[in-house]
Amino acid sequence: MNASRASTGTVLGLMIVAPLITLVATAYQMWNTGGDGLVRPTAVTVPAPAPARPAASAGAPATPPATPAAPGSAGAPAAGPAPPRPPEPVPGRSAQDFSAHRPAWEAGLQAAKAEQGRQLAQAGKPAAGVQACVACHGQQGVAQPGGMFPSLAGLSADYIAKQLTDYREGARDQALMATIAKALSAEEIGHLAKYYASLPPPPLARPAGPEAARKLDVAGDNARALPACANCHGLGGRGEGPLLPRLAGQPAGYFTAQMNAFRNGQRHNDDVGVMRAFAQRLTPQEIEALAGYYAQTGRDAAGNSPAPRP
Amino acid sequence: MAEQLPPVDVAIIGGGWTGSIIGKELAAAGQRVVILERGEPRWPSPDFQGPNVHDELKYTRRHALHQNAATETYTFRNNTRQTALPMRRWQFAYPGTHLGGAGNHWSGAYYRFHPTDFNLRSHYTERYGAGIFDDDLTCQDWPVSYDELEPYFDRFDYLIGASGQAGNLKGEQQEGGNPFEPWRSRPYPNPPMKVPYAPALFGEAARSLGYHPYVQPSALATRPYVNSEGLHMSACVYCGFCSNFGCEHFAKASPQVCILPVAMKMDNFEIRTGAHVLRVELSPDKKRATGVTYVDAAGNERFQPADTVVLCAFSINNVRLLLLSGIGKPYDPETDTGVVGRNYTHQTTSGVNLFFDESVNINPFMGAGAVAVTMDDFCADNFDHGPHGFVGGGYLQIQVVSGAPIGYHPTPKGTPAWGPEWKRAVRRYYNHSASITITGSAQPTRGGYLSLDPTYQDAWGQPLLRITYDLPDNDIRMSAFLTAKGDEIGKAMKGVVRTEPGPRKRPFSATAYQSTHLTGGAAMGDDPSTSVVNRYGQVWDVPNVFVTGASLFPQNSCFNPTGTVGATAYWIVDKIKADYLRSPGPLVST
Amino acid sequence: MEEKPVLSRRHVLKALTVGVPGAAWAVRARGAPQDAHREAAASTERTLRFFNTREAQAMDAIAARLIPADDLGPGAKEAGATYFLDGQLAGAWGAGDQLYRQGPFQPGTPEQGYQLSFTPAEMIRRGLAALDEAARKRDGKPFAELDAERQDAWLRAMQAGEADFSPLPSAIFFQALLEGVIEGFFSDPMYGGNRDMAGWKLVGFPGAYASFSNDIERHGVAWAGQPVSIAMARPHDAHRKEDHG
Repeated sequence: MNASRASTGTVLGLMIVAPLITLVATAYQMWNTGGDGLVRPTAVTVPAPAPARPAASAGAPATPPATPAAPGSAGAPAAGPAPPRPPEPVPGRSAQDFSAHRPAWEAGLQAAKAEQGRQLAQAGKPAAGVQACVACHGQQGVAQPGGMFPSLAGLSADYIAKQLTDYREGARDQALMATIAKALSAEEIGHLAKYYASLPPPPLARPAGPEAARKLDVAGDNARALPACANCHGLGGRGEGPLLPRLAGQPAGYFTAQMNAFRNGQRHNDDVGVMRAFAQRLTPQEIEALAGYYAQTGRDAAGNSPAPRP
Repeated sequence: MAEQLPPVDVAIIGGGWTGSIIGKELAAAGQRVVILERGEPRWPSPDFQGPNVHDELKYTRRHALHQNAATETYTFRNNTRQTALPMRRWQFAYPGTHLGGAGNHWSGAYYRFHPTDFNLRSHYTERYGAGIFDDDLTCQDWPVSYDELEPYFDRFDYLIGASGQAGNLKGEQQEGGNPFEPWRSRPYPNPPMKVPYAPALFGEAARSLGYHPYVQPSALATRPYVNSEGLHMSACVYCGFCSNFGCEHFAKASPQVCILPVAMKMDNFEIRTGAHVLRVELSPDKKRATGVTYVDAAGNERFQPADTVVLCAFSINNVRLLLLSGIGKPYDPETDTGVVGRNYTHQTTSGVNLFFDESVNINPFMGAGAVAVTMDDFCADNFDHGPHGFVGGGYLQIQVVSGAPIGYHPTPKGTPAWGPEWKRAVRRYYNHSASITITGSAQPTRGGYLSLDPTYQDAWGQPLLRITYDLPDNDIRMSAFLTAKGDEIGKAMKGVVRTEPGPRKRPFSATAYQSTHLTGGAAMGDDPSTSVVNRYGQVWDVPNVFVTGASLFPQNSCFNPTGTVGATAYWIVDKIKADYLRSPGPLVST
Repeated sequence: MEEKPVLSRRHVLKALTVGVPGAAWAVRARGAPQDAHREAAASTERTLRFFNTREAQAMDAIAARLIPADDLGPGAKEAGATYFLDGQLAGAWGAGDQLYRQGPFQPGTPEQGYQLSFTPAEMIRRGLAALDEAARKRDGKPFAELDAERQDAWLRAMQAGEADFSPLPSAIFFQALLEGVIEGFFSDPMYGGNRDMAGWKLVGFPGAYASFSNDIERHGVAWAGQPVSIAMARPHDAHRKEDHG
């Protein structure tokens, strides 16, 4: 005996007025969702390769706004996420492979000397066509706030060594850095990494907003299965582990470029593709907001440190 | 007098794995579904985001996601000669609460039961003779086979983004996988977990002794994954705050990550939290359920009429509900009659503590609930039981779950429990120890059963569930055998300077954690005199009530239960959709 | 910032430092003395919510013997175990949350676990009073004023169940003390204990930092950084100083 459908309105009305603790069904913004009601037991979504970048909101799935009382959906932007790239096979991983993974970039850090790194950073290797790092990355490893180059000061030696090695091996694509990295030996990479790790990072302000960025930083977004950026990158982007770099203080232009590169797959040296997957679920507006949020340093555009915040 | 609510088609008790799967599937099939969940909503964001979730005191010591013993616990005794007393605080297991249930705070170790687990009695009898079963064992065959369930294991694999490497695809052995793996129709959706140091050392040693170690499959996604419902998961970061915690990364499979967001888009699907179910109500002739009575968070009693009721609470809580509702005949071990509560088991675990040279840095804090190198050489009937005289078996592994130091500060036997020597030993061994985890099957006995306690009550005035259980001799012999094998492997591991094997002993104690795999009490079977439900989880006596979860296991395998819990949930709901809804009534004639 | 490799028979292992930016990570060479021990008994300086002064002094003395300060570093007293327990006992858990307290109460088998009616707060309060009374009776002074040897003797007696604190079995009281002190030594500092992360530094636990995806397969690498607490990880202020206590 099925409940009479004819009195659905009455039933719903009764339910709404009944003083129940209710977790109300919430519309979650999902692309490619199973919401069409058909059970697809073997529906592993193997997405098509990403097409050329469309305008952000083109083809955005229309999503009904959330009914209240559940996290993550109120005010969720109608995003136009790019279709994700197919999952890439993880190299060398069988269930009988117990080997350690000692990354190649570790070698150069063994006997690294910060002083030699400093010299390299100041002078470059003109004979090999390697310009001085300071030309783009700043005298003290702090780059111009409005520019496109990252600040290197205070990043972990492991991180810098890995990135330079990735540039060298082609795991990270960037024409200028690739040329530079290819001209460096593993030892020189180590020296540079150690040097820059020893430099003080720019003084960081507690980022004030925008709110959309702050929320993503500290809470993520349940609707899009986005963990808080801070889970890995530290709150306010202060940086966590050796390979989870500080975002705070990085120029907005650099941050945006990297996120977009992750988003379209052009940057692909993230571990098992997590950054690529996250970036694809962020909107361009959110990326811009996050860029501004993390870029806030204790320095104004002229490079002066204001009085510390109370 | 309970206020009567507008009727629904399906009332589901419990918002965990089986409730979420069955609720979503039935709602998608057009049924009006309500899930009654006693706890509160919990979502990865904002509830489990870092750094606050990395709080061992709150989640492990103060049970933030566990059933609150203050309001509802179990009583326990080893046998019927004792008086059962309440477990006043949790030690032996961690039943979950809040949305997602134990499926939210679990560890993610992910297996399928072995084919011979399903026809345990007849298989062992055929191979070894009936005498291999001790007289006190009440093991019995399932009414379904692995082959029948395989498509449903597969479905659950792709729902949760299982990580692993197939060892047997459609009957063909695969290189790089577990050679003892039963056949599977498809590969795992995600590649195997990374391998930390201690499991790698274990694997090398096991291999050197001729065993077949492999990376344990897990429900922790190893890369960004879009599951069969179109929901996203991210990669596990091996944070070491896994078991007992919610996962901040959407990496650990849970109902709220893998299925509920899709279900909740449907108008005809509702989750009602803060709803503590008291009982299933029956018609006067007791042959039909009319609905469910529950207490809302304000303390008001409500009656939710429903055409079909599905019990999806924690395994033994389902059994308690059956008993409280008067569904089925309670089991009485004295007369060996009745079925509800019969064949209750736990998990027969043991271990070998290992201590390493100071040069070996184990880094126990780099881990996850299911990162391990394991071996199935002594599982199921993968080895000759003839010389040993026990049934069942277990896996041996090293897993690196957590280095959170309130609970993890190993010291060798003989170290004082406090003082300067203790402190020195803790410092010496914290980063230089590991343990071989041995997880063995658990066989049921006549004296191991569930019933309602005659004395103690919960906060709602209802009798607590009483657990009467001790380990059968079979399991003690098995544990001794497995632990000795583990000790052998431990001694062969590089860097180990000391091993301390600890086989499981009687009596079973409620003061030591032995997994949360409490199974049985509502056994699935072909024969109503030895089972509570038929092969479709349908209660023999009350055909519009279904039971799910580990409650259905007639005995417990060595393999962790959740894979089989998920598969049977899909199996049950498929039958409900295909046949039961069209023609409600008994699905199996007796 | 110098990084010393840790030598082993097989590898030259590279010390892995936590990359929390800006802090000068001093490598903690194995066995090196920690910082000078902090002044004792912050508990009497902080506002107590549960313990009275006498109880706090007794608790400090107990903590100091259970996990003493030594060349390896601060002990439980310096780490604020008393203050931790004070907060816990003053809160829901101390009052009996997570504890089934319905009667009847009857003694059970060892396998049946705790069967007393005492909440943690009741037990600790009663036990401390019983301990002081027993110490006064036998040794003429409350526990906190005894010398270390006598204190240890009392702790051992309680541990063995030989002290008579009826109706509270002393062994159960001792176990509660030990668990509480260990929790106070190793829990996140936001609960009042593990001050300066002394407990975590003793064992090398990174604390709330939790992302090892890139490090877990660098088998045997030495983790030589400073731990991170939940409070530290919050952006309370902008500074990247060494003061991460």
